[in-house]
Amino acid sequence: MSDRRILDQSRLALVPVLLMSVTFAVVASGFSLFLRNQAPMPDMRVLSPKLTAYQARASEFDTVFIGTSRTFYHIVPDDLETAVEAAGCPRPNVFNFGVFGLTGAEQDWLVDRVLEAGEGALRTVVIEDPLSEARTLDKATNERARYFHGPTDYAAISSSISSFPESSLKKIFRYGIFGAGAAYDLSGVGRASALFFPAPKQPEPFSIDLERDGFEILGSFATTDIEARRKDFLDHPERLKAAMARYGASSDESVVARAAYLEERLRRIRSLGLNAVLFVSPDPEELDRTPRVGVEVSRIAPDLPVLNFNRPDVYPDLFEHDLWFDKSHYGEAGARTLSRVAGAELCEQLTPSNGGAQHAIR
Amino acid sequence: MLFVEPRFFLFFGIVFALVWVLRSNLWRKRVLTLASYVFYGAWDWRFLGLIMLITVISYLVGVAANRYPPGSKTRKLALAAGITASLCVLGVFKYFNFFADSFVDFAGLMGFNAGSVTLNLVLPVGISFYTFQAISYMVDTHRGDIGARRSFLDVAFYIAFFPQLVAGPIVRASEFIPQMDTARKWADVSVRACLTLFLIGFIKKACISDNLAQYVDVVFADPSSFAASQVVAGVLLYGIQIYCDFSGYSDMAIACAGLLGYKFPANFDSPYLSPDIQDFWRRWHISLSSWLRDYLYIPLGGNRRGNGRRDVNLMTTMVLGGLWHGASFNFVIWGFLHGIALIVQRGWNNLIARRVPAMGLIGGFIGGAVTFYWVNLAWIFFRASDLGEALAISRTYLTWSSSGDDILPIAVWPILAGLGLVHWLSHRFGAQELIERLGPNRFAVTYGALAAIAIAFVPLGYRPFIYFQF
Repeated sequence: MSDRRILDQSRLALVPVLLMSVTFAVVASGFSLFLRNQAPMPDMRVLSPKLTAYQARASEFDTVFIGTSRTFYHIVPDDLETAVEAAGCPRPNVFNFGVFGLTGAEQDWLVDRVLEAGEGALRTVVIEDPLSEARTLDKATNERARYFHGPTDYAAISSSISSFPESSLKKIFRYGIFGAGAAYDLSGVGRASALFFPAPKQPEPFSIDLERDGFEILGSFATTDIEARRKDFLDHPERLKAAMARYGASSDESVVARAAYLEERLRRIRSLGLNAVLFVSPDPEELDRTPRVGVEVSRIAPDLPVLNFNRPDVYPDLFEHDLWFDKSHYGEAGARTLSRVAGAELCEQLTPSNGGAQHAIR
Repeated sequence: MLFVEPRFFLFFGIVFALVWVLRSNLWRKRVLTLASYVFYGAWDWRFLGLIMLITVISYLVGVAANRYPPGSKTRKLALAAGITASLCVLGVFKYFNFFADSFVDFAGLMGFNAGSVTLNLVLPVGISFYTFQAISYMVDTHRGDIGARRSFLDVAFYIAFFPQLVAGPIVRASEFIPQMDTARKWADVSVRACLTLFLIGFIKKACISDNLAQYVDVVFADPSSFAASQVVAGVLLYGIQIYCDFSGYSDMAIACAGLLGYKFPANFDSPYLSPDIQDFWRRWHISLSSWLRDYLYIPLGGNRRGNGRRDVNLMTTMVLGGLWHGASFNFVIWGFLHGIALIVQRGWNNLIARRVPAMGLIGGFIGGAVTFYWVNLAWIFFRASDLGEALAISRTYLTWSSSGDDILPIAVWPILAGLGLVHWLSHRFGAQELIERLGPNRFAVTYGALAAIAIAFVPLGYRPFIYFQF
């Protein structure tokens, strides 16, 4: 066959291939979005039971901490409330809405749910600098990630990726994973199956002990992963010291965009007449990044309260080895210590005379 | 590596491109043989040695067939040794524990303590299929139906060709080997037919079989907790599951081979629409039933030595066919039930059917319903994990009595009726042909839309094909 003929045949074949691809993409996306709207929100570990519990009792809480596992395992509502009261402010009622692995897009969604449910009762929303978006395929395609990779989340994910302090190459890679996650969601795989062929035995919904208003002592519920992290921490005490050495080290990862990103979110909360506070948790693994983010937010928005605890020079007591359960999470003693410090500082930062606060803690 | 996994699509895409870029037939065969070993090795590379061993045995039998004249003692001896050696490999890996356990149990009944002699062996995927293909090569070359290959690569390629390697269809040497002699031409490939067949197979496997499997699993796991109608429905769902699973695999295998330029015989022809059990076996797992007919039933004497001997041959063939599926008495009973049905039907044909007027469509419908019901009764023994479970389910299936509840979360009977209707309509109006006859652009749009909808019906998580265990 001549090269010319092969070329002609290839061109002839190209049109159906393109037609097939476009039809597939259009029908799959449309069908997937239709099915997505029909399906209930998936049951997500920690997030779902906390959301249900908060929505049921939203009128009781005036202060909500929203963040990652460093909110979940670090903020003890009772201790924080007592500390706030001891510092001279009215005792608040705090709900810990920490969810492990919370990313920027997820936090944006969660803030909306909290503002919606807590309207009228809510006075203060404390948000954490959330985690970066997924960088592995399985983290972009698991059930929870899939729920947060819908078209309405694209803008939030994009803002989160573009503002995260890391190199351009890493950002591009993260955008690639985001694309794969979005494509997986739009493919609709599994959606009609789940709707039309429901599992014969539904799994028990996730539950969590909410006696402590959302706080959980790390290690009280043991998993293989948690035990491994604990063992690793105990076996390698030198790693905490090495992590501490990163504090103050120069870094070429600019935090300006991240600070702007967080400011935008804090201002939005404040525009609703609420106190908006940024919480930067102690985290030895992030000593080269989050303290700088907190400082930068304070610089560009001095009127916004920032609880920047990831600073060993300012809070040396929070970095004692015994307080830590693993390399980036407190055990019970650490959580209680931090909560007491955080309560006192929260009271101080939200006192009306201390510029910017609109509502003193009730 | 399953045909429905993304990594298979990547694998196939690479192989497909390589095959059609290469012009030399020899290089294509090399690439396909190597790809087949990669495909098989993806399960467990250690079992590649078994395929190689079976291939060497087959090759040597072929060499003997070339060297010694037909009818010579050495040629016969080589064939017997080759078949025995292949069956020994199959026997050790598949049947050793079954026969050892049975022997120990029997010895126990006789009052002897024979101890335990089971081996901790993993069943290699597809061993029954490639062993039967190898036997087909040895017998066909011995009979002179095809010339034995001088090239070891040809024998290796025939036995290992990946689309049929792990679950058939069992392709006869005389059907496949002549296709190796010339380079396949792209112009001879019916792309639309292959793509349509692949999509149909994919829908059967991933969208129907895999979704129904979860209900079948719970019914068979604890039948007593389900109402009789749901146990019966569970059995019928399994009938649909195994059909869609296996015929879906066969469709995809035939389509993949077709896209690479090779033609496989059809393995299924809407078997549940058969008016009688004889017809069912002409339409179910055609490659196995015809293999058993040609390499077992006919050599046993077939129907040439009177009705009594014919029935014995028939029952022997069906029971061994059952045992081919797995080392368990459940499979033996499954084969036995089919053997009984075939013998009864022959008796019916000889003694009654000739003396009563034909009942036309109504007769076909009644015959089809009875056949379907019987086939599903036999499936209970095929699916149940042990004999006790099979007997309990078959009791409910036959008596429609159970103290359990309606707890399946789906409307099982409407689903069964709907699937049956779709199956009949697609058979009656030739859905496959209707799609593949569309013009290129209409085909592309239809195919893209169907594939997009099908994807949504694929449950998360993969289930291996049922026949991989055989």
